[in-house]
Amino acid sequence: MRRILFFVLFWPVALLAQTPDPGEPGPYAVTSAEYDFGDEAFDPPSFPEPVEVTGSVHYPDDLSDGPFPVILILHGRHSSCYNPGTGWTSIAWPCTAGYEPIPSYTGYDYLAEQMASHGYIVISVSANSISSTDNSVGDYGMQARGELLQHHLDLWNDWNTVGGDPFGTMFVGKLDMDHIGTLGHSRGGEGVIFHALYNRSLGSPYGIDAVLTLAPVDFNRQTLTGIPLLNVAPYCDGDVSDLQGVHFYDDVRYEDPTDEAPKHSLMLPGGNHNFFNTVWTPGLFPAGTADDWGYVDWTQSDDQCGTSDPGNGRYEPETQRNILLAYASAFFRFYVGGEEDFSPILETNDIIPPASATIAPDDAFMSYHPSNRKKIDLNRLDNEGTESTNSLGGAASQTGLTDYDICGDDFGEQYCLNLGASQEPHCKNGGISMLGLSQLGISWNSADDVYDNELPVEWQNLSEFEYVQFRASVDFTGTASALDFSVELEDASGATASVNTDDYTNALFYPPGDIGTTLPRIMHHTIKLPLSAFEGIDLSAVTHIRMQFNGSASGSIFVSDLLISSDENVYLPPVADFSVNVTTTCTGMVQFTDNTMLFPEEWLWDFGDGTTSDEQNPSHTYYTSGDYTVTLTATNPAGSDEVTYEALIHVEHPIAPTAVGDVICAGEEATLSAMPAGGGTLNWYDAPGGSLVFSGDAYTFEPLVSTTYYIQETIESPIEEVGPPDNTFGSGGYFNSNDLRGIFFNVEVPLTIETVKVYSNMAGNRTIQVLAGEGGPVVHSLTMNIPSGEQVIDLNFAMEPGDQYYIKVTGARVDLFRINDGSPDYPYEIPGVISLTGSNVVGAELDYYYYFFDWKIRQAECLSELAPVTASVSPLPDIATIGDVTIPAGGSATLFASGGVSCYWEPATGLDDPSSCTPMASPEETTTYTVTVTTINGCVDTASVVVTVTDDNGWEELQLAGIVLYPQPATGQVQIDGLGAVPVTYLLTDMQGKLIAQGMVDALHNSIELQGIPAGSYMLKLTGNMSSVSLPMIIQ
Amino acid sequence: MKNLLLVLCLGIVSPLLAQQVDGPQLTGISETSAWTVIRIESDQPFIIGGNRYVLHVGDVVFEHSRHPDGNERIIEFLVDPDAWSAAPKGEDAVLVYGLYEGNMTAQGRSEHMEGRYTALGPLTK
Repeated sequence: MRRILFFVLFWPVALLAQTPDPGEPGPYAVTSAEYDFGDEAFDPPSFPEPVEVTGSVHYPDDLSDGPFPVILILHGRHSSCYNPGTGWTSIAWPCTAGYEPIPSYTGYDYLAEQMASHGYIVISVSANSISSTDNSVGDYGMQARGELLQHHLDLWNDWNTVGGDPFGTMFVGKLDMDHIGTLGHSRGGEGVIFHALYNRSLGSPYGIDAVLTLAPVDFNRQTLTGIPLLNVAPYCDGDVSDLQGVHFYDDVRYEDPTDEAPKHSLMLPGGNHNFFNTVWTPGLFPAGTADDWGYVDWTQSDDQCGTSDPGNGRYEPETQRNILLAYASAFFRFYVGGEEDFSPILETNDIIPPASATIAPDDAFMSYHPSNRKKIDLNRLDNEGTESTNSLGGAASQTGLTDYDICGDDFGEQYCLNLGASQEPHCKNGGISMLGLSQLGISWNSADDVYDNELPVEWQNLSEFEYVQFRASVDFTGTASALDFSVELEDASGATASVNTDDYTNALFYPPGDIGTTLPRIMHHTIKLPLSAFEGIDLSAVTHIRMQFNGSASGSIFVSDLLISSDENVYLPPVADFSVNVTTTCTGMVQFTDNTMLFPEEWLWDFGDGTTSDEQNPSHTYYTSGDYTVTLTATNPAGSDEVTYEALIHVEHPIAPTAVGDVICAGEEATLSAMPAGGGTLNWYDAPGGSLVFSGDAYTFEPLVSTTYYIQETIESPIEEVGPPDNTFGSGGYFNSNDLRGIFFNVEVPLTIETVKVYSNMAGNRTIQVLAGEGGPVVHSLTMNIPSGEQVIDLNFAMEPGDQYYIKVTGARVDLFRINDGSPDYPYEIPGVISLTGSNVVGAELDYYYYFFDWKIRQAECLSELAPVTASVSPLPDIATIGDVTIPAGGSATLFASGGVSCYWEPATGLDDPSSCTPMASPEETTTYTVTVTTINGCVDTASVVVTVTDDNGWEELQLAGIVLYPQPATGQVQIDGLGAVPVTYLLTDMQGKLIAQGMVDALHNSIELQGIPAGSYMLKLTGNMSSVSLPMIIQ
Repeated sequence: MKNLLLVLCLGIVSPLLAQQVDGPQLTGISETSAWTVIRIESDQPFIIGGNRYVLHVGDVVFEHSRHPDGNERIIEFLVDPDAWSAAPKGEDAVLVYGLYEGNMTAQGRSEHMEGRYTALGPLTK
């Protein structure tokens, strides 16, 4: 490089940190072996063709130290076969006559040997079959690559546990399947991303610790969080010449606030695409090799990447491999092997390439995005609003800048320089509707020009942190040379300290290359400044962080990811925040989502209606109309934080139904009724938020006790229609060519797509899907048999508000009618509700209408307030009677019944007052009387008393016929009237015949003390000389 | 009406087949039950790499392709009938290695980039 001399002479001492060289060979002797189960040995579920199961393994010759961590390598797309005689290549699979497989998987043997020498088992997998077919597959074979890698891991898991051909038991117990690093080159790079996601979807049977994407494609823009990532972007890549792999880094930076996996991206100014693989490198394999930079620069004349330019900056192939040896070793040995000594290389604390990389100090540039536990985001620069308010809520501002603009953040400004993805790789790449990196463009022409970010008071204590860092790239369109500027910190006292970026980075170089349309490029690299270098200010009270553009007279840069970081985890109190799915609701149902930063571990929600929750993301129902203030208190071991949104939720229930209760006696049926106020359906619940017990206007049941139900009226929204009512508005036909067609629609309020009309050419199963964007996650999927002809089909797809939903038919059978003559009149819409916006036929979006006519949709139903209604149950009378009595013929007895407010005896024969509770009974013959007792609530019950008439003479002797016991029931004492002078014996027994008391009574001694005798029914037996009589008695 | 036009145009293109090729040339357009197949042949192998060939026809891009029988001198783009029907009539077809949305034209015009850019002329369907 032309800059070598400069840096050797002037490189700041601060940058010359010493880190162990990861590229040196390790202590183990290495052995390798191959395995091959055939060219068509595996059928990936997602791929139309069988693929080969072929691979190699490099391992420590002495396996006794195992188990060893595993590295799994996947090559990219390349010619699959070659003719040794002619040197011609083919991408057939299996190879045709005269051709032999090109062993692309062996092209990383140099890396495999290196890693194996450090105690890793390195497996490299052949994927020629996928390469031969993947261009005709929707995802370019990426899922199949993931499935193939998982299949190899399954094989190795078998060999690691029970052994088997071809290795026998040699590897049993020798692989640590919980610690695996994966490396994918080119299409294999996107393949290892898909594999990590696939492994995770299977429940993570294997532990993927680190993923390295080497000059990868990123056609599908899948994102991988939770696993450390290193992307390698060779500046002179002429194959994937828009360096798509930077998106693997950029896309996941802020995707998951709980993501603890760091991201790294390494830019190599002299690297091309192919030289990482020896089988693809000219001179190292007999066929199919190329310096891919020639794909872009036919004459190899670019002053950086063109090998014909005498001053070019290209690496020799061996140098390129040396670089990979050094950085891949550092990455895997740190994240898979746990060798923390290499972290400075990856975390940009040591930006000098390892000596083994054999490149100059300014010939490798790392981006580093720390774990969320090691940083706070000062300004993510991820939307236009961050021009004035940073990510901490402080003011962002500029002074004097000639350009100050967020770009790349919307489709109207998807490129910052409008040069396209090759020169702006961080911006949107082709083929998929997904933006790239949002970044801040800055230009200055004065030393007084400033870009300033204010730190809110709660974020001013930076004493736990070690660096201020950001990513930046020189804008080659507004600058003619490398740049320098200062970063200044100001504390609460007004003291300031500044540091020149030039003292700590070489990343503000002028991007090389002059070919145009591909080079120069905008590439963001991390610039990391130690806070310790800002001397003389109070780091516990930093109020401003500024870029002071006083190092170069003028210049232009792009900036991203302005943050404060640390080498170690920093434990800060959480910053509470949350969001809701609705703020105005007629159902009262609200989904709360915790958005608290800094790793909350406990949550306390106050919903403002007197209820709380400790769930992280609770659903809550408000039963009463009104405005509710919601407070979330989030807590972690470092502290807690509270956020309150006043009157956040506006609940406007329809008025409650009018309800009528019922009062019954036990054992009767109760009928509760209600009248809906809005003409809706009434649902009866056993409690607010409880179980549904009934639907309807009147509910009849037999309660045992008083029971309250809560009635809620569900007011269903009316059916609304959208879309063409039928297929007669234009011409078209049945489409069955593929399952790639559909239409887009936007939903503005919660609704349900209940039915659509389709026209089916033939009966058969179809799978109808709604996706969150074409190629996005499946929101709904329904497989049904659709008969031939016009059919209205039930979908009942509940939709939340969102844009760019995509509805289609997926699978082998489509065969439904679509309009293709340009007659559709998009948008078909119900304003404020739903809008069908167009088809996915690129360039003719509005000319096609696919499959689904006459949509019947229904907005979400409203729920009234609850109307409580009660069935009051009164108890039946607890009847106590005198019990059966015996009287002599012609005698009488006083009957008795209690438990209510009135009595009525039947038959009335022999009674002096049938409506008395204590009638005198004088029946001439034995009679069974039934007494009906009524309570004060009108509840009635009956009991029977048998009055037995006897001819016993003793009775007469005793003249007991006139005997009266009183009071009845008795309390404390009972009097016996009607006794004569001759004493008679009395025996008081309980109803089981147990003797309770005994004695003598006569006319003068006619009371019996009852103190201490429990309440209840008893028999009092009076015995004279000749006879006796038993009288029932009740003691209260 | 568009479909009728498509059928007629396909009939016109068919005689292009089997001509001697010198550099990438459009050599045929055919239909299967599922696809319209646009065939391009060259006397030199197409790039077989990580990126993908795309066929631009006006503003429409066809992305999916195959090399029949593994022959690297033939590339066939697989276009579903609706996308094919929607392709603008008479627009220049441009074969590019890599899909660089938004700057295809600029890249295509670079004199340095002959290796991945080929103008095939108007695609007369």
